[in-house]
Amino acid sequence: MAGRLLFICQLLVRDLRRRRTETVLLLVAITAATATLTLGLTLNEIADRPYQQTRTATAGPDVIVTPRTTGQAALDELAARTTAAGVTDHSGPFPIAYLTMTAHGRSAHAVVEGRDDAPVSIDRPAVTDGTWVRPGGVVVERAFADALGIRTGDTVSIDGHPLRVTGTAVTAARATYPYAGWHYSGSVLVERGGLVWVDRSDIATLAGSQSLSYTLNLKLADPAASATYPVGDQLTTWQAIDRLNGRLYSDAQMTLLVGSWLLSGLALAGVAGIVAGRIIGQRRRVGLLKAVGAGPAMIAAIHLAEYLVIGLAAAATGLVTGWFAAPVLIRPSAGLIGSVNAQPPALRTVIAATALALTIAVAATLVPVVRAAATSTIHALADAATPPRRRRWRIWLSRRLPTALLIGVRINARRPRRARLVTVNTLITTTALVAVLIVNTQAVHFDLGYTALANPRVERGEQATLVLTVVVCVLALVNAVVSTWTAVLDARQPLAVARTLGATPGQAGVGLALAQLLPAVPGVAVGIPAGIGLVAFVSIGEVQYPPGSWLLATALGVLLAVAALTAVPAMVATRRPVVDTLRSAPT
Amino acid sequence: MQDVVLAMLAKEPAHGYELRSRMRDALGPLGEAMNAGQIYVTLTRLAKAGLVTSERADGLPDRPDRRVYTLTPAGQQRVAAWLTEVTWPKPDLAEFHLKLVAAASARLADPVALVDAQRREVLRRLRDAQRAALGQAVDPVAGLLLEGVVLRLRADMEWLEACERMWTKGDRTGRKARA
Amino acid sequence: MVLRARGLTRRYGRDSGLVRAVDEVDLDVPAGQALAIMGPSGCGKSTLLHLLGGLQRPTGGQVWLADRRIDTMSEWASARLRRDSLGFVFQSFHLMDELTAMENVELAALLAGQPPRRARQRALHLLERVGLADRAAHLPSALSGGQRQRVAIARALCNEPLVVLADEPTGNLDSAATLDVLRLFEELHTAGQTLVVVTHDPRIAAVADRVISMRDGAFADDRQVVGAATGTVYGRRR
Ligand SMILES: Nc1ncnc2c1ncn2[C@@H]1O[C@H](COP(=O)(O)OP(=O)(O)OP(=O)(O)O)[C@@H](O)[C@H]1O
Ligand SMILES: [Mg+2]
Repeated sequence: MAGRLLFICQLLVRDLRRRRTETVLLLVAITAATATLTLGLTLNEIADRPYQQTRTATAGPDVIVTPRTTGQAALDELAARTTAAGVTDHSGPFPIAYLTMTAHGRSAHAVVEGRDDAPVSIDRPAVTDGTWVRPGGVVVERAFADALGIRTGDTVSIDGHPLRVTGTAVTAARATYPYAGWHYSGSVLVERGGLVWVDRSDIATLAGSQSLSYTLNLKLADPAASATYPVGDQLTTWQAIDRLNGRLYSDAQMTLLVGSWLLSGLALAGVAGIVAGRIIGQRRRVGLLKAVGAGPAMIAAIHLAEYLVIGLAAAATGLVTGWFAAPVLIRPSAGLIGSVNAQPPALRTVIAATALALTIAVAATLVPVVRAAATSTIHALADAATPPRRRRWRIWLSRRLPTALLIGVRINARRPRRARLVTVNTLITTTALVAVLIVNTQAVHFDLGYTALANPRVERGEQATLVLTVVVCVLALVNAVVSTWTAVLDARQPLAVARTLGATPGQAGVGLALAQLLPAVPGVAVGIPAGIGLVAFVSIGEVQYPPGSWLLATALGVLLAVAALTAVPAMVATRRPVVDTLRSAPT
Repeated sequence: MQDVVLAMLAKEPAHGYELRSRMRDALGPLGEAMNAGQIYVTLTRLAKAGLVTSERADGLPDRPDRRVYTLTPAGQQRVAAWLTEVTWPKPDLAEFHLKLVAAASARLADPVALVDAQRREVLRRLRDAQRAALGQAVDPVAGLLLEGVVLRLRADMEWLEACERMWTKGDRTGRKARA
Repeated sequence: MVLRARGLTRRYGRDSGLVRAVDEVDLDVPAGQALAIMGPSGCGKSTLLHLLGGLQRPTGGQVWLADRRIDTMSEWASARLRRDSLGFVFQSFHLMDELTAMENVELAALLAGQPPRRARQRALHLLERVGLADRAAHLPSALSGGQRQRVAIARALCNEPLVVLADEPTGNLDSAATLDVLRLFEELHTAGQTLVVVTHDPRIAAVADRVISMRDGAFADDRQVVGAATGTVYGRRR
């Protein structure tokens, strides 16, 4: 048993070393899928964990009460709250006014909260820059400041009153911009807006004729007990704020999760392509192994071990990549403090990524490996190409075509499985690209109505789309390179034979490019409606379709890429003297 | 030759000319070269040794090729013994080998040239045998004999090639030593 | 002369790794000649054949096929030449695995631009000639080695080449299959086809009217076989 294991390990190491390029390509393909999945899953944590940190750092309240009533009525209502059962501590009530702030010529709704200089026991906003409130000054919530481009020292005006920005701060008592809970006095309709703090003495001036609202922060003996409080427009809990903050990421998360499935499909197709190519090369070795007495189980073990190792390595690199890329690509809201990478990835992320990587590796290898292991020894040794189901009509057709097409069609008829792989590959690539295109169109039209300010939610969604686009394109490219490259390797011998019969290198190269292009066409044709369907299926709102010319351009681009990617290595291959190819071809 | 003739008579008594044509058929193209008189000389010898008897066929002139020959019991025994024999003709390569050694050591001739000449001769024979085998009319049994001849000659060719390699090498090392 | 070479040279590598695969070879092949080039493994036979067929470029010397220089031809022109004037037969057959015997033969004609119907007729005719008419619809994997080689020969003959170049055509075959191929060559020879066969199988000599021995990239011995039919007089030319 130990001897066998040693043997398997030896073969494994040799193989991985000897076929470095393929190994790297496999790694890239699977890594891309796992990294995207990690990103998607990590977003949850990103949304969640900084809030916890902020809550701890600012002594965040468990329950926040902001009655609809104003003035003395509100104060009376709140007074009763402080003595309710389970309440251990409170701060406030603090006066609140719902006003409009203008900075650098841009206006936005601002929830203005009056504060004292003296620290309170609950909800002490953490000053991230500058100093805390003082008369005549204003402190802006960091995400809000970020969105408006406000810095400490700037002057802003609130309902026409100029105020100097003394600093920025974060809090756990309200959701970050744009979910600060702004509404017209007495209205229940919440609109988007940010939070600012001013000196308690200034707020009455700012509010002018508007009567003040009040907010009260409560601390409970059991923070989880806040779940029993009815959340509404007058009361909120820390859990509700956490959820609200998370909404910033929900679009992005959806995009990335759907994207990671798409990428898994692409990775699967790519891996299947590489593996198919490898197995063709390994057929003879399988025969040799059998001849020296290795059983089908042993052979399957040897090959699967290889892909499992690659899968595990890819899972690890994918996790690390995703984990490190997450805070760079999707920075946590400026309204919260704390870094994202403080803790290692959650166990479920690790498990999910590893499972995905192994599934891709095993799914793609199982069929060819089992088939190779099950072929008869003689067959494998002779390395006879399995007589494919012959496509009579194609052969018939090819006789009536120009030389290049003739060669292309016949090569295709030779490898129906490879042709199918090309179709699947282009199908998934086109689907992903079209989906990304639609999501992009979507983002552009999102919610421009209210203010010229960027919407952080859309911004994050766009970032996610960008990440996805880049990864899809890279993986699609890798896939196309792999599939065309194996096709070129595969077709070298027939092409060389065709050349001894007098086909020119150009005809041979174009023929091979056509051989790839023909099965790509149906893939692209189906990929466009598939991409549209996918987005329609996952998105909640109305889908905004990109112009038809864009879709057409995408389709043509994919086909062009396939043709170019094949033609180049094919031309290079045909530059090699025929004799060398024939010499190295198995007899 | 004697044993062959005896064995051919084992099936049934036969005329001399029948024996001859049977033998020629079996030998195929190689049989063409067989001397016609040889078989009668052999038959006469066998009769003297008491291994065959012969009698005149009716209504025919008494000539050796018109007589019918039959095996005697002694002849039958001899056939049985011959069948169980396992002797095999030995190709005599030693003589040519020694020729090369002698030529080289006494500088009588270039061994490579000798090999070359010999190879040409073997190739000629091989060519003839192969051409004969190529003939469409060759009966498969006779073809088998030709194949055997061709195979032996190919073996000889290969050996001659080995000789050439050897003596060319010897030549080179010799030259090197002299230099 | 159908095929002519002067000072034909092909070298691989350089300095200590220099291999003179073909070394200053002069060769004239008149029309209708069946030439056998023999020699031990590695003496450069295949390389010579590839040079003669324009499959490889020489590092020195010239080759003419029917008075056209072929060693300086563009890749495109030499492809055309292969299509129209040359037929190759290889030791390992090099048939396309996924095409039937018929389609393999026909492919050569189609590449040469013959109309499909004519190509098919020609292929059928040739398969008949090599005795495989009943195997036309078989894939190469369903044919024996000898049959495959006969299909390859049919393919080589497809465009009525000026010269058929064969590299170890019997190298992978047993005695009986070799005999079939030899018979076929004999017939071709009788029909006036120019043949250049490279081999280390001396049996090929049976169908040749000239045998050249090659050693280390050069001709060691060039024998004209006079009176091939009666076949016993050998004259040495060099
Ligand atoms: N691509 C190459 N690079 C370097 N050397 C080569 C190359 N191709 C052939 N050779 C060398 O050229 C010489 C002649 O090779 P070639 O294939 O012509 O021999 P051959 O006579 O056909 O042998 P065989 O009978 O075994 O087929 C050999 O020594 C070989 O090693
Ligand atoms: Mg060779």
